[in-house]
Amino acid sequence: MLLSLSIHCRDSGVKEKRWPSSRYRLAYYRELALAAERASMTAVWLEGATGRDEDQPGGIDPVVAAASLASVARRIGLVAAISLDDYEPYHVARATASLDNISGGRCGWLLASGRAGAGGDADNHADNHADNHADNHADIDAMSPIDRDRRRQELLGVTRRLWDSWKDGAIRIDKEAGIFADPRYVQPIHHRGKYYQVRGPLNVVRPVQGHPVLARALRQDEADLVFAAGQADWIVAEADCPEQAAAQSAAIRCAAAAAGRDGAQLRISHRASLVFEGSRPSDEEPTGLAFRGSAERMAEEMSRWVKGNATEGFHLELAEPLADIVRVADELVPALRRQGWFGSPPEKVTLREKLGLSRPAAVWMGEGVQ
Amino acid sequence: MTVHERRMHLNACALGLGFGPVWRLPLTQPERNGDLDYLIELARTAERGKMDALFAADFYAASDRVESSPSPHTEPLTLFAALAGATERIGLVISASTTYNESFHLANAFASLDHLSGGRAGWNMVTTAVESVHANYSRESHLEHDLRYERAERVVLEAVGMWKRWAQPLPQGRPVLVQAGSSEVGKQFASRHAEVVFTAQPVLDAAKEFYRDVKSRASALGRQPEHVLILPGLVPIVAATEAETKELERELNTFVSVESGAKRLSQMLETDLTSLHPDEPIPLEALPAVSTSDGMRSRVQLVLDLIRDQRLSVRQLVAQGTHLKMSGSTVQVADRMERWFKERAADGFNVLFPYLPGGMDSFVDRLIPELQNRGLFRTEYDGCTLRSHYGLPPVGTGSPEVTR
Ligand SMILES: Cc1cc2nc3c(=O)[nH]c(=O)nc-3n(C[C@H](O)[C@H](O)[C@H](O)COP(=O)(O)O)c2cc1C
Repeated sequence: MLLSLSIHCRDSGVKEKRWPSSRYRLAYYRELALAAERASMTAVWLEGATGRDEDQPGGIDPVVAAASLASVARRIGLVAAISLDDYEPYHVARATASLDNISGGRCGWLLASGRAGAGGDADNHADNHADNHADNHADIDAMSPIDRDRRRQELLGVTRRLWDSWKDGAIRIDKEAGIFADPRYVQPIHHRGKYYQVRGPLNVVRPVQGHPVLARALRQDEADLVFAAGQADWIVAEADCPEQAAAQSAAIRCAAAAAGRDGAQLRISHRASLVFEGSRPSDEEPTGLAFRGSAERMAEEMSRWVKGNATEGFHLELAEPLADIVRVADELVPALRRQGWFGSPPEKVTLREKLGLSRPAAVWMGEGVQ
Repeated sequence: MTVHERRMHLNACALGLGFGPVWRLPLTQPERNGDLDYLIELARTAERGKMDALFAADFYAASDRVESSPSPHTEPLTLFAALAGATERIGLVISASTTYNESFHLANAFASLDHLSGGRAGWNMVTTAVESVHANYSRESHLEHDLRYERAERVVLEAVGMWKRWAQPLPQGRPVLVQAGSSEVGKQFASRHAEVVFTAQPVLDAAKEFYRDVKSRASALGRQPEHVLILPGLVPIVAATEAETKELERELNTFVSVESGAKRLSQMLETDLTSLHPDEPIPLEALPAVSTSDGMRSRVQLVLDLIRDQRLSVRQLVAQGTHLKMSGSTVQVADRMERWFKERAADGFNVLFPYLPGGMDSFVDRLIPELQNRGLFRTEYDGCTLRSHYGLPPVGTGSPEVTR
């Protein structure tokens, strides 16, 4: 098993309330993504400012940032955070399908949660003229964890069905016969659930990957592990040592099996910081796992994890992203290659292919055509 | 501002999608609709022509004619964000519904596009006329026409408020606000908020009246009339000579079916046109006098007026479509565009290419140089933001903010 490397671009620093201006410019994301691509990394994960505060911008919307990179970096996976609690499934399915299609199948969806400070719109409910036109604002914070989980599961189920509302092979483009798509391959979904009602079909054709990759950064609680193991294709976990990581990976795989999933269709990486020898000391000491020293030493340490089947990859959080990513590309990756744990991924593959995940076929509803 | 300084504004519409059955012709490439390189080529062609902006519409529901018309591979926000990374100057205008989005999401999405594109974002604040959309967005029914505009008012004021409060200044102060509904409430909304108005106006006199109407409403609210641009949709059909244009027009109509066109228009007008003789003028008694349609009210009214005004037959109506069409040699089309512009029926056009990519190539390679030679269109971009292309003032100066 070859190691996968990915990089996390997040809300910079919990302490800072404001993003630095550079983070509002495409040049920042371009530089980061191109360096990550040069390092043959699997994906860049983009996370906006978490939560919502109507007096603060939400940073750069991760979907917009990921899409702007689609034309700039042409090989790397683009994983964008979208909250499970904040949008209608039709919106999420469209955005991710579109990102997947324009990027040639490189889209991932980082399953984020929360809609903090939903105040503004909730307040407006009172003077909304017709109640049934209010936005679908369940008060997430007031919900019991079980209801919250149900709502997220429903959103994911509906989103998958919307991706599947265009079956593979629907598009014919037969100019002679005047058939653009075979209408039998385009099905409404008629979903009527507790939280969402969606007729479909989607107005964007099926994603290149069938389903974009669902990614989740695991929190340290049992309920989240069960949720992630049941839903995500790619999980980033946290551990301090290979032994702990191996135990945790086993627990995740066990929960996935209990949810009826095929273990081969689940990738697990671990979050890690890098402190390069000779780099400027950062104000914030990294929390959790950190690899330190020379690139050679980091590579040796990393291979110890992979050899012990503790993890399948490292998801990097960099204190000085633009400076550190260059050292990853120029020093760490060559060192990993020398150790034999890092291949050169073939050009132009989908994110699923990079991760060794298969492409889901669309589920037919009722009797299909086949 | 003197007359010769006034320049036309031109948007390039309908990226990746053509009209009705036109995709069946050999001169189109529908198989490339999802190909980013193709979409980038189109965007760069428009940018080479120094056009003001690219525009993408958005309707939030699958077409009910997926068999016979191309469906999108993309939605506009992600597509235009990708194009922002592949272009330098051209504006990026996207429709986003005030009925089916929340103000925070809209404010954040357009702010993000404005930041990453360096000040090129524009928001076409549509209210979504298509009734079936409610069923995709967990709503029990579609919001009624005038209530949609009431909601739009709230959503837009909230979004504008957020852009003003947020600490990180936007490259344009705020994205350019565009509006595209021409009903009475639509025009009221436009006169308060819109800096650019899209409209379907196939008849010169009616277009002049619309132009005068919207500008004077804006003036009455204390806004500068030149800070509200009126851009009717324009379908240009141009080839090297008049004869070649005729040939092209004939080709574009190859697969246009009067029957299915009549069916579609019957639904739109809520009046049966399918049993009428296709080549005789539509009898006026068959039509309602005014539109009370809940959908695209102004569009229905426009078709009714068009039939009355020009005594159209069903076949002529189907071929005309609802947007202004100009066909002829380069000089002939440029003459007509100039006339609409100089007689103040338009400040420019929202150009809907009858087929892609060739329709855009011929517009950029033939018409734009002709308009440039006449001093009617820029030969270089003056600034870097969409606001600057449109000649709109920086936010916070010039036009007083309209508040209620
Ligand atoms: C050029 C143009 C583009 C439009 N684009 C959209 C669009 O993308 N999405 C949409 O829902 N409506 C779109 N519309 C429709 C209008 O926004 C509006 O909903 C419709 O005209 C009904 O409003 P009204 O009754 O005020 O005219 C467009 C209209 C025009 C003229």
